[in-house]
Amino acid sequence: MRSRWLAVSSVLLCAALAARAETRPHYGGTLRVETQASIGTLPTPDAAGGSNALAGQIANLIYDPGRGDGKGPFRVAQFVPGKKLTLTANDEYPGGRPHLDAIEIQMARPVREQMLDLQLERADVVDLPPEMIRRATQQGVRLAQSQPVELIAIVFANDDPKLREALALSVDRAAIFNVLLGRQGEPTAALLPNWMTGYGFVFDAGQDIQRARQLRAESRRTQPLTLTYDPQDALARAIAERVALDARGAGLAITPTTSIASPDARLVRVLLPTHDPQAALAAVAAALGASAPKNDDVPEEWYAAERRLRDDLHVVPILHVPVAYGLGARVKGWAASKSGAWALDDVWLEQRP
Amino acid sequence: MSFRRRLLLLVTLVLFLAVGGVSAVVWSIVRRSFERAERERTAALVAQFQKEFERRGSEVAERVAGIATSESVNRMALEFSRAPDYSLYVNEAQPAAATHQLDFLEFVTADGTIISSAQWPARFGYKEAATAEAGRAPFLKREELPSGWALGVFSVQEVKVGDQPLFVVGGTRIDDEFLKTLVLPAGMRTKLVRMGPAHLEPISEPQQRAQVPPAQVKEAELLLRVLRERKPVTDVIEPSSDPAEGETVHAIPLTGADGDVLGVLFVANSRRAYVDLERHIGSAALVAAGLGILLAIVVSGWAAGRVTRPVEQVAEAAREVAAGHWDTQVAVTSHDDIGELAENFNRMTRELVGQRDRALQAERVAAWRELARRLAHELKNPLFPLQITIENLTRARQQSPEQFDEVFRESTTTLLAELSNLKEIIGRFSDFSKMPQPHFQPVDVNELVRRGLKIFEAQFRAAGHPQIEARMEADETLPRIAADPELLHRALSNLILNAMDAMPSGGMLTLRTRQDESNAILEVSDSGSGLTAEECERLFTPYYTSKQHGTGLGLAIVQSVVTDHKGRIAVESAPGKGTTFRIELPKSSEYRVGISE
Repeated sequence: MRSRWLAVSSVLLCAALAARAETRPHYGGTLRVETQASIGTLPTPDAAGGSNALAGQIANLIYDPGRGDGKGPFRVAQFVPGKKLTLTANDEYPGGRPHLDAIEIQMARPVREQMLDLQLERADVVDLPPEMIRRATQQGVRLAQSQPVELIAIVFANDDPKLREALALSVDRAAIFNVLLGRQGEPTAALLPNWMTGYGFVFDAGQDIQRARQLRAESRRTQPLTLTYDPQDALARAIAERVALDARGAGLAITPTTSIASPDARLVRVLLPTHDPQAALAAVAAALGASAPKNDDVPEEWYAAERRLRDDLHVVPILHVPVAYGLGARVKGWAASKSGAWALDDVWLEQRP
Repeated sequence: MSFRRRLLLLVTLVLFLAVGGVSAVVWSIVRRSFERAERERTAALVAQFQKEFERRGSEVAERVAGIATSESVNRMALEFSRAPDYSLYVNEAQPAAATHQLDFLEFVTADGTIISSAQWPARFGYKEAATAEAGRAPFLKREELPSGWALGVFSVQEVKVGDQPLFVVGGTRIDDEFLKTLVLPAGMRTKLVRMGPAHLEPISEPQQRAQVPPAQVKEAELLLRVLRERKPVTDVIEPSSDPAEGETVHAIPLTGADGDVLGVLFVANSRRAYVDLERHIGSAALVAAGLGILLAIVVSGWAAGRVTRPVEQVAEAAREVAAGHWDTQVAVTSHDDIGELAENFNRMTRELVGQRDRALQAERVAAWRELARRLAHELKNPLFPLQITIENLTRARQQSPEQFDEVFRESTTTLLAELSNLKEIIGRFSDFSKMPQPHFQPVDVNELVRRGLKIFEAQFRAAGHPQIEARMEADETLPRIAADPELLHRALSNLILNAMDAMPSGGMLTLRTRQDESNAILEVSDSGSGLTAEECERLFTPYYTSKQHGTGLGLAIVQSVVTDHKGRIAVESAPGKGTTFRIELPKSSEYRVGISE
C-alpha cells in the first residue's frame, strides 16, 4: 500500500516537475517585432508618454529614468532609420537582465505582410489594426489588446459650431463601431474614453439626422467640405467615406480626399499614452496643437476642461479604439497593458527543437 | 403700264411661280425623305441600344447568378442564418465584383440592409430597394455613388440557403463607354444623361440663360419635355447661326423597373447633309428663276413683237395725230382685231384730214368775208365823202362856175384828206400781213417794260388829255428770257395803247412783272370800265374791236407775237373793275438753247 502511494507520488512529482520546466522562463532568443510605424531618429527619454506610439515603446525599452544610470533593460545595437532597430539585453539593468537576448524591430512593414510573417512564424509580434481584431480572433491569432486608447476624430480647420454639430449628429458611430471595427473600441463624442474618465457617456454620441439637417440649414456654408485622411490608413479611409455618406443624409456635402493642402477638416488618430485623464487630455491637446489644460483633481473640472478643449479645437470625436498586437506561439510572458505599451521585461521565448 | 410690260410681268410671274412650286415640292420631298431616313436611323440605333442593353443584362444576370451560387456566398448566407455578424463580410463585395467583372455589387439582407457594397463600401447598413426585383429580368437602375449618380443594368438573385435569404444585387454601368460600343452611322452621335432623384430645373432666369449657350438651354428644355411627357421627343438644336451645324435631336427616356425616367438617351443627327442639299436646291431654284426671268423677257419680247407692235404703231400714230400730223397712216399687217383697229385708225385720220380741210376752207371763206366786211366798212367811210365832194364839184361846175374855183380848192383838200385816210387803212392791213418771224436774244423784261413806259410817259401827261398815272411793280429777280425785243415792245405798246383807250377819263395803268416755276409773267392792268365776258371771248379775234375807230388788229398782233414766242396770253376783266392782260413767256433752258442757235 505504501509502495503504491510512493509510486503515485513519484509519478505526480515527475509530472509536476515536467510541467514547471515547460512554463519556466528561459533566457535567450531574439524577439522579432514587426510594425507598420517607423522612426527616423532614436527617441529621447521624454518620448515615453508622447503621441508617437513607436517612439514611446522604444523609449520605454532603452530608458528607465527612475533606476540607476537611467538606462533601460535593452540597449541599441543597430539602427537603420525608418527600417530596422536591433536591441540587445542590458546585463547591468538594475531591474534585472531581461530574458530576451535581443529584439529586432522591422519598421514600415505593411500589415498584410506582418500577418503572413506571423502565420509563417517569421515574426513574433505584429501590429493588429483594430478593424482586424475580430477576424484575427476568429482565425485563432493570439492577441494582446489594450483598452480603447486611441481617439479617432474629425478636426475642423475653422469653427462653424452649427456645421460641426450637424456633422457630429449625422455620423452613425454605431454602424462604424459594429461593422468597420467589429465591435472593437467604443463610439464616443468625448476626447477621453469612458473607461478612463467615467463620464464619457455624458457626451452624446447618438445620431440625430433631423436635428443635423436643421443645424445644417442654419449654417451659412454652401460649399462642400473637404476631409483629409492618412492615405496609408485603411481604417481612416473607411471611416472618412462613411462619415461623408452619413453627412449627405443631413445635407452636408463632404469630399474625402488625401491630397489637399488646406482641408476644411482632418480625420486624425491620437494615441492616449497614459490612463491618467489629465495626462491623456494634455496629450490630446499637444497632438492637436493646443496647450494642456490646467491640472485639477476634481472630475467635474476634468469634464469642463475636456468640453472646452473639444470646442476650442473644433473636434468631433468618433471612436476610441484599442491597440492590439498579434503574438506568435513561442512568445511567453506577455503582460496585458491598458495602454497597449510593450511590457517585455518578463517576456521570454519558448525554446523549440 | 404698257401691254408689253404687263405681258413681261405676267410671263415672269408664271415662270417664277412654276419654279417656286417645283422647288417647294422638291424641298418637301427631300425633307420628308430625310426625316424618314433619320427616323429609320434613329430607330435602328435605339434597337441597337436595346439589343446591347439586353446582352449586357444577360451577362450581368449570369455573373450575378454565378456569385449567388458560389461557395463563399452560400457560406455567408448560412452564417447569417445562424448568428449574423455582418462586420465580417463588409469587404466581401469588392473582390467578388472584381472577380466577376461587375461595376456594382451588393450583398443585401432580407430586410434590404446592405451588408457589403462594392461600389460604395461605406454604404453598409443602408437600405437597398432593388431586392424586390429578385428573379426578374435585368433592369435599368440608378445607383448613387460618392461621385454622383450612375446608371447601370442590374440583376438581382436571391440566395436561399438558410432561414433568411440573402440577395445579390449586381450590375454594370450604362455610360459613355457603353455608348461607344454602339455602331453609329456618320453624322450621328449619342449622349446619355443620367437623372438624379431631383430633376434638372429649367433654365428660366434671363441671367442664367445668358450665361448658358443657347444649344445647352435648348437641350435642357428638351430634357424637361421628356421628363414631363415620358415619351420620346424630337427637336432641332442649332448651336450657331449656321443651320448646317444644327442637329435633329431625339431624346428617348430610359425608364427603370418602377417606370421612373432614370436617364435620357440623346440621339443627334447632323443636319449638314440636309442643309447642304437644301442649299443646292435653293441655288438651283434661283438659277432656274433667273433663267426663267430671262426666258420671260425673251418670250414676252417675242410675244410683244407679235401682238403689241401693231398696237404700239397705232398708239404712235395717235400721238402723231395729236401733234398735228392728221394725215398719219399705219400699216395694216394682219386681218385680225389689230388689223381692223389699224384700218379704222386710218379711216379716222382720213376723215379728220377731210374735216380739217373743210373747216379750213370754211374758215378761210369766213375770214375773207370778215375781211371784206371790214374793208367795206373801212373803205365806205372815206368813199362817202369822196363821192359827196365829187358831186359838189360837179354841181358847182354846172350851177355856179364863178364859185367853182373856191369849191374846187376846198374839194381837193377834202379829197386828199380822205385819200390819205384810205392809204392809212391800207397800210395797217399791210402791216398785219407782214408780221415778221421773231429773232430771239436775251431780253431783260423789266428793262423792256421800263423803256415802254418811258416812251408813253409824255402822252400820259399831255395837256388837254385825261391824266393817266402809270406805275410799275417789277420782280427784280426775273431772269433774262429769250425773246425778240422789237416784237415784244410792239405787243407791249399795243396793250398800253389799248389801256389808254379804255381809260378816256384817265386812271391808273399798272405794269407788273413776276415769275412762276417755268414762265416770266407780264401783266398790264388798267382801271377802265372793263369788259363783258362775251367781249373777253372775242377780244383776240382779228378785226374785232369794241372801239369806234379801231381796226381790230391790235390785240390780234399781240396774240401773234406771244404765240411766236411759245407763250400764252389771257385776259381778266369784269365790267367796272378794269382789265388785266397777262402774258406768260417761257424761261426754260430748253428754249434758251435757241438763243445761241
